[in-house]
Amino acid sequence: MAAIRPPRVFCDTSILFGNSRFEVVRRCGADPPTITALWSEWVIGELCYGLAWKWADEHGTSPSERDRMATSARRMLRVLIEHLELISLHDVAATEPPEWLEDAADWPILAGAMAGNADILLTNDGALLKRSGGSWGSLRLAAADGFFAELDRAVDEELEPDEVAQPTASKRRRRASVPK
Amino acid sequence: MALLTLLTVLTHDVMKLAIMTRTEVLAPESAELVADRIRELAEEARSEKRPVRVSKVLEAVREGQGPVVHWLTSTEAAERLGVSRNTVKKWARTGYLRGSRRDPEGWWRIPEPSVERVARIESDLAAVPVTEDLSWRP
Repeated sequence: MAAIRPPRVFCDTSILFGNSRFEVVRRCGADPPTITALWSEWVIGELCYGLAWKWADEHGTSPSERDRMATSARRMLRVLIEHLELISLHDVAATEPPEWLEDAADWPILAGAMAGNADILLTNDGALLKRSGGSWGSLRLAAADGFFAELDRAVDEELEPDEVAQPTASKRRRRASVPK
Repeated sequence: MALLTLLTVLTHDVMKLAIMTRTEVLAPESAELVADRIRELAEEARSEKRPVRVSKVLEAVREGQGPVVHWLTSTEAAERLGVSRNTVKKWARTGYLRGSRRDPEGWWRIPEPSVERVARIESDLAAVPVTEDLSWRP
């Protein structure tokens, strides 16, 4: 049976800033992976300056806090670099967004998804999801929660019935022997 | 009484050994290497006109099986990872806890190095506080 190609999922910065970063790594770090996760230099840049601002707001900018932030950022980046495929915007950085795109700030994210031949652009940016209407050409835009729930359902369906936790004969016997 | 104590200790050790098991399967490449090694042993024995020692054959198979893997139960893995058993089972099923398998009784067995890998990933990802607040975005 031919292996099914995992979907190529471009992760917007909002995904990696939030709880979904765990879900992304749990899926592309699986064997076999259920997604191929992508990001770009733009996303890395946004992630780092967003984190620096947020940290400064919450903890101040003392030298010890700067050190703590840098150490934390390095730990997270090491894991993300290991698991996510980098799509370079080198060739598309200077291109202008198409006229139909209402917000030019969305362009580097969409350009990254297109350059990486992504099937899905994962974003928690409600405005972008609304503006796109859920797709842009062949690219599908999806919010994290719905996408991961859909992926879990697909994995469950793919498994043989006895692979989905079923009590074995011995477990059933053990349960039956427990006095009520 | 002393015999009973000895038997209890032995049973405990056997149980401990049972979870220090090697993989039960061989990759085709490893099987070929094992076959080559056994052929070498046979040739050596033939040239020296002596039988092949079974212990040497078993040693070749064990080498092909790779290093000893310490397997954890889903409860042990859940304790190490600070998550629920259901989460461990889900991660085992989806392959995030790599190399996990179910024993003939249906219980999940998870390789310890795989638990350590996931613990490192989860802890490194959690080093940066999570936020769903996107107001930082211009």
